[in-house]
Amino acid sequence: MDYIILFAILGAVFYYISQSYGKYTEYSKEAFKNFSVSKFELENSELGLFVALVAKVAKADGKVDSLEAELVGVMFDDISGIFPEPEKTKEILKEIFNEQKDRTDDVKEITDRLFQKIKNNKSKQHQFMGFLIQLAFVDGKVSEEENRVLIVIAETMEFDPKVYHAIFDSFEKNINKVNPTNNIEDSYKLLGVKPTDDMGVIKKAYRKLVKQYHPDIIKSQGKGESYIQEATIKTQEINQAYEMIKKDRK
Amino acid sequence: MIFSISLYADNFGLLLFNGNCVTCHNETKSISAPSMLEVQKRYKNAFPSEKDFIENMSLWVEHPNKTTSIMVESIDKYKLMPELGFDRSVLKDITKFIYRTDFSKSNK
Repeated sequence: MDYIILFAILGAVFYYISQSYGKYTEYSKEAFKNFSVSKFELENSELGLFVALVAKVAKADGKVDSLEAELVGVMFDDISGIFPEPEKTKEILKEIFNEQKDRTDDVKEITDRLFQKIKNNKSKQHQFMGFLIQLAFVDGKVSEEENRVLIVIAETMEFDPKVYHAIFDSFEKNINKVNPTNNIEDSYKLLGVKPTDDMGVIKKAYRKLVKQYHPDIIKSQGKGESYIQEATIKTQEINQAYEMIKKDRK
Repeated sequence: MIFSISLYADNFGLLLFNGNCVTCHNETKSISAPSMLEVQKRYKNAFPSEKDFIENMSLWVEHPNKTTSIMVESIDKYKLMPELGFDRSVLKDITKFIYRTDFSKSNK
């Protein structure tokens, strides 16, 4: 029964989005070709403000864990790739992340600035929210502090609580569905490596797979609600296989 | 703030360093724990090669222990560092970043 309600809500949300915003304003190199890369411009752009929120969610529980760092690192690459000066952009994004991660007093303000820019784009609001939720789920469960930050963001973006909780619950269900590879052989297989390979080779394979399958905020634009969830599940599987191998070799 | 990092530093080490270490270890000032500059200096004196530096620092941070510390007076002053729960391979990435970063250029 729960499922039916959940699907009905998600379906309605979906329908609403597709009806109202059939035409996406997508992120692309073409769209950013005249962007002048500077800290000021980036800080005040959608993606810069989004990075600031990512920092706050990632650090909310007081710690940035290794998968969070892995995903945020790849996110820097994804975002900077569409700007005219990728290397410079990446350095500035790192600065923004670093400065923002310890500040919790301005979550509402930053979210509001982002919201003003994407007010007419429900799809973007959902993609950003979905990305932030998955980031909070990355270390297995959402801590109280992470939850608090997410709620402030959702409220400021004027998410209907029902819709927000539907997205959240659906993530939770999906994360719980991730099957940890039961045995070490499967873990090696999943990473495409051999038990005889050394840790350096395995780490490389792991990183390559994370890069390939992680939730990509740029690519997610224009894709359905399920995209970030599927990418999150795949990333979790890859990560669990890697963790299992590391543990086994201790 | 212009964050100066070595060319070699990857996102991963940097993110983990900034997300976890600097909360207590400021880059240049010793406040609630010895500064990174100080820790790096002491470790580089004891373990000049990158390999030894990474090996020894990551080993110690995995299970902080006063008897194996090379900075006992800091433990007396600031108390023993808590165990962070990161596994060795992650700690190696972080300590590699610490070895390669010029903290004196950090104008924090």
